[in-house]
Amino acid sequence: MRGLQLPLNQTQRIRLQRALEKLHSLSSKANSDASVTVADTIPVNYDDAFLKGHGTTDLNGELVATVCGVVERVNKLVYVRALRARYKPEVGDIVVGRVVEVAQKRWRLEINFSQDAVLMLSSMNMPDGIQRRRTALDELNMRSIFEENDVVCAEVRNFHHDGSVQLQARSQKYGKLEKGQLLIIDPYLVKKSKQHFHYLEQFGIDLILGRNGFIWVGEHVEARDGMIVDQANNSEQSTVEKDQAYTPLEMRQNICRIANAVRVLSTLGFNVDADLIIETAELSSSLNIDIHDMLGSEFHVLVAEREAERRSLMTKRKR
Amino acid sequence: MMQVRPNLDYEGPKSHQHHRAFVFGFEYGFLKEKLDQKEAAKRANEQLGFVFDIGPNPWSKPATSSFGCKPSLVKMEYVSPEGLRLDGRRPMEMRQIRAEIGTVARADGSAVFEMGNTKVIAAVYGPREVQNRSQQISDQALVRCEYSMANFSTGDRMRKPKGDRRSTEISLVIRQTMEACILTHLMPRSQIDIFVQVLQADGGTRSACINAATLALADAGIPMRDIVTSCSAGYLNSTPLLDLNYIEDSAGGPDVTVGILPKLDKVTLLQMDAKLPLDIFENVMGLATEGCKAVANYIREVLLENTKQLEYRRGL
Repeated sequence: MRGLQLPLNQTQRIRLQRALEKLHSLSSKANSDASVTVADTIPVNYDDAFLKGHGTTDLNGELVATVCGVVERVNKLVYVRALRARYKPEVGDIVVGRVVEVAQKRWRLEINFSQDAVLMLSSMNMPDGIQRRRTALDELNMRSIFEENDVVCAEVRNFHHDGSVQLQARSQKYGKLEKGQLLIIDPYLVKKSKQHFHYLEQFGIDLILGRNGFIWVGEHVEARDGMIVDQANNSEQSTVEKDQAYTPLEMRQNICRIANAVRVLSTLGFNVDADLIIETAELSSSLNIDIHDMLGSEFHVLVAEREAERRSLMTKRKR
Repeated sequence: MMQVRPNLDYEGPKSHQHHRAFVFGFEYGFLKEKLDQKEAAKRANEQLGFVFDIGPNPWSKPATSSFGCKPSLVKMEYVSPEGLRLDGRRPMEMRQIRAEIGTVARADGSAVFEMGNTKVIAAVYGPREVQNRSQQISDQALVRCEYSMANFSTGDRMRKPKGDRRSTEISLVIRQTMEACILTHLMPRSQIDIFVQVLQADGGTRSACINAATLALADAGIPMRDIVTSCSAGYLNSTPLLDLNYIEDSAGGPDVTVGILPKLDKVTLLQMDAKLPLDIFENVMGLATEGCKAVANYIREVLLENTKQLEYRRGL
């Protein structure tokens, strides 16, 4: 199991094995039949016209997979969905990235893609909020907006001709993320859903599930801006800033608890979505498990068992 | 694409063990009991069971050194009359293989591959942004490979595990082999790094590295034309032997390493040390190719099992 280098004693090992076997039996048979490895022939009816999608190639007249994954068929399109590959951006996806470089009129962000993404200065709102042409002065002050190693939330705008990605952060909800933790998991565990920004009220925490596998867990900020404090209001806001800079202990513990819940789910390879994260965090607090014990073997086994039960309930309900 | 390349590190007989044993026996006789050369060599023969040939020696050192004999190809038995090798295998039998995926959590793809006692770990990072802008290729991915041996991988602790000629040559060989099968044009302006390290060396490290690199690349989800598998074979005591271990490798006989794309049935790597007549070479290469196909079946099983496991765990 990737990342799970935990010492499991005999009973834990048996319990984990049983939970995983249960999950295995619950999984749809169609999916496991459709798994292919590199250079496996894809069973397709050659009489029908079909389109060759990603992860496939033509070899001596037959369709062959180029990655290890699951064959998906959508109408006439046949493609292979690779599981552990890097993130494949789509226009409109919400991503969280880390600033790698401040270049001429743009920032370069690392988003777990084969190239770094570009966030143009013109795709960012200016601190004063006015829509205007970016001057040379704005360009010189770029570092006051984002610096290297800042965590930024943005949306995929479009693709360049050479395959690189352009981002935009024009809305209030995008921008610099502070007072929290960035977690990196595999992109295939984050599914596309209607909502990627979650506000967990009972914890007072913002949770952003980036489609590229970067998850942000942080203190809740009202009307998040990508802006900095305006220079004119510096004096009166500086004292307020100082108070806000201190995060209370309980908030920090909540952040750590949620972050550890995400870590446990990603280690076990389960889909990460907001409900499951909240459930896992509540499970740990209801059993009075210490936050750092959440990364121990016992909690991993508990989460696996819980997930197996949950999925069996879901399949029973479906039937 | 066949590349028959000279073995750059062949600097004389590879039998270090035999060297040492021989020198010990000879020195012992020569210095300790003040026998003459012939007598000492005879003593060494009896003690160690080797046959020495005393003749004019092109590598002879000055008279003060006792090392004045040329060790010939030892008549050690690598295949017993019953047809068993030194470790009990049949000539056409491979060592036990074992593979594990996902051992390096931070890497995009990783694998550990074991062939008998040879153990190799491979980690793949990529495709990611090219770190050195000047090396960026605008229409395809840049593939980099680094081969190194851990200090503790061989019997004697190695002094320079990276950067010596052998490591550089093997890095280049692995890079060219993997580059031939990766579909680089799908990932322009990016970089794929393959790091391979030998944890335990017992012959056949080159093959084990290529197999491990294939597994790691498949684990990372990098599109490939076909998997690359590799195996080595040799010819000792007039028998073609599959999958040589260190002792058989050091015997000084020919060692053929073959790397193939099993589904396309194409050869991407072909290397040999020493000399072989052509008809025997065909036999030995055919044997190595069969070994590669066996490895390919195993690798495919492992990858399929891993994919199924990831899929059912993820759920819907």
